[in-house]
Amino acid sequence: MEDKVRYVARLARIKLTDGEVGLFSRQLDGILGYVDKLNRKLDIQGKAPPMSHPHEASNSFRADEVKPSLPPEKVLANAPQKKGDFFKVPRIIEE
Amino acid sequence: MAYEPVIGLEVHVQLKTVSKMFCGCTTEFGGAPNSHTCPVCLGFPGVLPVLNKRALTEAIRAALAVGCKVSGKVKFHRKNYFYPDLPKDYQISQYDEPLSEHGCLKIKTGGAEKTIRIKRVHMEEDAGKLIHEEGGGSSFVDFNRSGMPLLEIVSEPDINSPEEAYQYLTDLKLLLRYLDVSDCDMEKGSLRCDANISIRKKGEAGLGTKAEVKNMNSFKAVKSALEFEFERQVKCLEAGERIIQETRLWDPDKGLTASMRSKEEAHDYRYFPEPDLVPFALESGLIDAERKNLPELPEARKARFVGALGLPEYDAEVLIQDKGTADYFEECVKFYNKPKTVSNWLMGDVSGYLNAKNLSVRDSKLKPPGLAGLLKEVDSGKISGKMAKDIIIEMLDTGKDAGAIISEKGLAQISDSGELEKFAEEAIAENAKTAEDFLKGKDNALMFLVGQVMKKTKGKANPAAVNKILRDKLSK
Ligand SMILES: [Zn+2]
Repeated sequence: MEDKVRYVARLARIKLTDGEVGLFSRQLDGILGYVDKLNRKLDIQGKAPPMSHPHEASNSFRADEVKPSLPPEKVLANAPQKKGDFFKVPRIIEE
Repeated sequence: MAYEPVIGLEVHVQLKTVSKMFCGCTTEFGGAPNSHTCPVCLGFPGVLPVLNKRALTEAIRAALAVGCKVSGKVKFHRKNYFYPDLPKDYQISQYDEPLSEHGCLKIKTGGAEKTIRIKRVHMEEDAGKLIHEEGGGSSFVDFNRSGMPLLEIVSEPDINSPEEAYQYLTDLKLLLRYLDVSDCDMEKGSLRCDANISIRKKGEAGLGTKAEVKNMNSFKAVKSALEFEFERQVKCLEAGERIIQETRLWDPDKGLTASMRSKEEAHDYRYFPEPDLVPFALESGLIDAERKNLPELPEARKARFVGALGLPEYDAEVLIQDKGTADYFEECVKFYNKPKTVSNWLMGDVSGYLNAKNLSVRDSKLKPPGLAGLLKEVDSGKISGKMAKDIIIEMLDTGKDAGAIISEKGLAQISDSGELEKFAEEAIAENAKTAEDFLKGKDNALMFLVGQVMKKTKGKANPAAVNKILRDKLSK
C-alpha cells in the first residue's frame, strides 16, 4: 500500500513525509478493507449497476449563447506571473 | 521481407458553436490573449460547467453520419494530468461510455474502395495554448481556446498506407463540412490529427509496437510524417532493434519525426466520473430526429449527380469536393437544365478565375441565374462560345448580367442573313481565286472565306451561318 500511496502522491504532485505515507496507507487499508468486506458479504452482481453519481440523472443544458467574458484585469488578477495579457509560466519544453 | 504500416488516426475537430462547451465565452477565433475566458474555462474553484446543447446535437449528427451507434446516455469523465495549458489540471472528456461507437468511413484510393472502421466518436473540451518565449526560460499561456467543444474521432488501425491516411482525412473533413458541424480548418486549429503507426510483415495479422506521431499541421504533413515513420521503423527492425512505444513529433522543416521523451507516468490519467456533470439521459426521439435531419452526404450526392443528372463520375467527384460548389452547381441547373454544360463552365472558366483570385464560388459576383443567362445566350446563337468566355470574365468581375454586357459592348453575334450576305458577297468578290479553288473542290478554301467575313464583322458573325451562306452563294 505504501508504494501505491507514494505513486498516487507523485501523480498528484503532493509531497508526503514518510510519516504521512504510513498514516495514509493505514487509513486507506482500513477503508479498502471495509469495502472489500461489503464486496464479500453482499451479492450485488448483476443486481445494481455501478453508480457514478449520487442522484438520478436530470439533464441540465445551456443554450448555445455567448455571455460576456471576464475583463482582462480580473482574469490576471491572481496570476503569480504575467506578461502582457498572458499568464507566464516556467518554460515547458526542453530543446 | 516486405513490411506494411498499420495506422490508426485520432482526429479532433472543433464543433461549430458560438459559445464554449461548458460556459458562455465566445468561440470566435483570435481576440487578445485571455480575453475569451471566464471563471469556468479558467478553472477557478467552485464553478459549475453546464453543457452546451448545440455541441451535443452536433456531436450526435457527426457520430450518426459515420454510422456510429449513439448511446442514449452521455457521461463525462475527468482526465487528470498536469500541464500549464490545462487550468483545472483535468480535462473533461469521455471514457468508458463514449457518446458513440462502431462506425465506419468508406474511402477510395487508386480506384479501390476500402472501409475504415471508426472505434468511437466522443466529446471533450480543448485546452489552452502555450507560446514559448524565444530563447528565454518562460512560456506564455492563452486560455481563449480552453473549453472549446471538441469531437474526437478515433479510427481502428485499418489504414495501411500514408495515402489511405490522407484519403481518410480528406473524406472525413468533407463529411464534417457537409454536416456543417465544424470548419475543419487546420490553420485555425479547428481540425487536428494524431497518428498511431506500427509495422508488420505483409500478410501477418498481429500488431507491432506503435509510435504516436503528433504535430502535423496539414494533411500533407500527416502523409509525409507517416512515410518517414514507416521507413524509420522498417530500418529499425531490419537493424535488429526494437521499436519503442513513444510519442514522436513531426518536424516539417527537417522532414523527420523525433522522440518527445516524455515520462511514462504521464500516461496514467486516473480517469474518474466528472462529479460536476450528472449523466445525461438523451430524451427519446432526439437521436432519431437528428438522424432524420442529416443532410444529403457527399457519397449520396455524387451518386445523384451521376444517376439523375447524367454527369460523368469525374465531374461529380470534382463538384462534390466543395459543398458550396455543389450547391451552386445545382442552383445553376435549376435555371439552365443542361448539367454537363454547367459543369464544364464551372470546372473550367469559373473555377480558373476564382482560384486565381482565391475566392469561393459563394463570394463570387456571378450568381447562378447569371451563369444560366449567359449559357442561354450561347444556345440561342446570339453569342458564340468564344465570346461567352470573354463575357463570363466580365460577369465575374462586375456581377453584370450577360444581356447587359452584350448590348453595352455591341457583342451580339450577327446571325441576320441579310447583313451577312452582304459581307459574304464582298468576300467572294475580293477573293475570286479562292472562290474558284473552292468550286474546284478545295474545301478548306471555304474556311479562308469564312475567315474574311469574320474579319469584316470584327468576329461578330455567327460562323455557322457564314459557312452556310457562303456555300449557298458559291454553289449557285
Ligand atoms: Zn468561459
